[in-house]
Amino acid sequence: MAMSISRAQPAARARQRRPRWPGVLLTVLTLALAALWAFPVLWTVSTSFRHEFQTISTPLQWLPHPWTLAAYQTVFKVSGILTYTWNSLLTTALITVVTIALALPIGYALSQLRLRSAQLILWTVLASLMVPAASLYIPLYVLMDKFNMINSYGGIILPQVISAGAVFIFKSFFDQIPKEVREAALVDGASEFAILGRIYVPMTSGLILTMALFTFIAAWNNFFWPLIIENSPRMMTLPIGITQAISLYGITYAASAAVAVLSGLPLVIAYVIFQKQITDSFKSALLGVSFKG
Amino acid sequence: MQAGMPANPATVAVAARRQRALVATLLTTPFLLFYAVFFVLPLIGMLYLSFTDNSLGNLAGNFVGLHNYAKLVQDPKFWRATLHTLYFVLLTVIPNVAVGLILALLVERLGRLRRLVEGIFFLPVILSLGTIGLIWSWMLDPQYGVINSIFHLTTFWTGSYRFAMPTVAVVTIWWSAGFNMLLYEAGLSSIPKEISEAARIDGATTGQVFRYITLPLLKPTTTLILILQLIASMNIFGQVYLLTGGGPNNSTRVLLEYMYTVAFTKQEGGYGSAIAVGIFVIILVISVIQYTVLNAGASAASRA
Repeated sequence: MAMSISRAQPAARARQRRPRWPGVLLTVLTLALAALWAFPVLWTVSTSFRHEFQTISTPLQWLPHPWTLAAYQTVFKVSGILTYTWNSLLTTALITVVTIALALPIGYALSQLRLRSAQLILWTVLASLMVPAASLYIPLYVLMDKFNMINSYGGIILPQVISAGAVFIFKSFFDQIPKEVREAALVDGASEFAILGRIYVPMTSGLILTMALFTFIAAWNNFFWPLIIENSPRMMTLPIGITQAISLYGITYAASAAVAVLSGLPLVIAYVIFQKQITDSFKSALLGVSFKG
Repeated sequence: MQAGMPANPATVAVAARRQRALVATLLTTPFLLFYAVFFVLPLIGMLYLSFTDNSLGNLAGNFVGLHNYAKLVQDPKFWRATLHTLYFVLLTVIPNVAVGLILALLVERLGRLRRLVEGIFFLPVILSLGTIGLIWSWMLDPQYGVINSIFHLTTFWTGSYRFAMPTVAVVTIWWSAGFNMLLYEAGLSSIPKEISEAARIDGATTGQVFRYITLPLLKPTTTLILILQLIASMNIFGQVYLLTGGGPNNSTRVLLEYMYTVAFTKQEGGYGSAIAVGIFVIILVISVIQYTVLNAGASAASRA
């Protein structure tokens, strides 16, 4: 008895103490890695507040001295960054809304309406995941040319709104809700659309937010399709516009850094405000998906 | 059926079924319509165009039979682009999964600092490729870039045969590992703490707990990330386009960039479509191989 206690205690203490030193070391290492990770962004911010001549001065200066907004003034004067930002915000917001508005109803119908063709439709939709989006860009371009939609918001938006993944995720979520919920409400005299709008959609509000964030970030960052469909600077979204601006005006280092900062800013601000919601809802949605497949 | 229903149950059932069919049609048609116009139609279009000499300017083009495919099979540029893409896959898929896992493990054990550190690792994910291109072109600038300045080098990172593709890979991992980190954090949070605690009490070391408990339980997450990462890496385009432009001397030209060049720079829509079909087939083959390997691994694990 006494022996077992005296043996157990040091072991218990060792267990508690053991992680301490390696733990501190690991935390320091993690913070160092985080600093390294943040460095490219911080360095770009630091560059953006310099005069051009300071960017090429040796030895290296970590912080701008003196600070200046000259680069930002240059950018606003010569590049259409406000136009690009507006185009990006508008097209991305519309892509997000339409994607959800298309995927949620079909996900609901496939899950809750006991359709005989539900499996067939689901697999037809999911089959599209096997085709890389970019491999369809040539016929899509030809199609858009036929519709006269090159360099139009419609041309940017329309090919980006069908998401088989979103349909699958909404259907999977609705599958967790017993079909009897709808049927009981029907018996009580509720209309089909009232059931969807007042019962099911509120239940999915968390998932809708997650899917919206997902879609927004993906569309905001899309590069390939916008590169093809946006030829005129008037219609360009940020990722395309800023690269064009640089090759067109020969903007140099500090100005390029300012463009990078300005182009990243809208989403970074949104991210700082909504970080908790974004990461938490991402995690919970990803959890739901990864453990089903 | 229910008591107190005045109407003939059969008529009610028929009416209900009709109404349900109507609702189903209303709810599914918008998506399916878009699916038909922006997926099925282009898919048919891609196949059709690949048998023509379409140049993006004139829409129709003439039927040329299998000519484009014969050209594709013998096109050294296409096969070289395939090799470059596979090289990029090799440089990014497993490293990106590993970095994601390491970041998740590092972040998970933090207390109050967790949000901040997690935020820093995830931040690049929300930056668009245009921004990434600007940031890294400046970081990697051979003359005035900070990396060469710190280490007193003069390396032309994006313009040398040796470093161009690895550089694109490093930038890609920096850009996207935070996403894999989140996936792994989700996976880690689903493992009950009691299991590893019980193992600890039985005398398992940190390494053993990780090797025999954490890692096996993360298998579904790892599989998901591998699949997503492989598809993303096979579809590499923007990073190469922005950082190296496919150079030097086309040594980093990847499949989608070759398709882009042929179809949109040279305006050969027909041959470009044949390349698109080729890319589709290659990705399909790679996916089947991956699926087989992952499945074989899973059944070997369950036999052990």
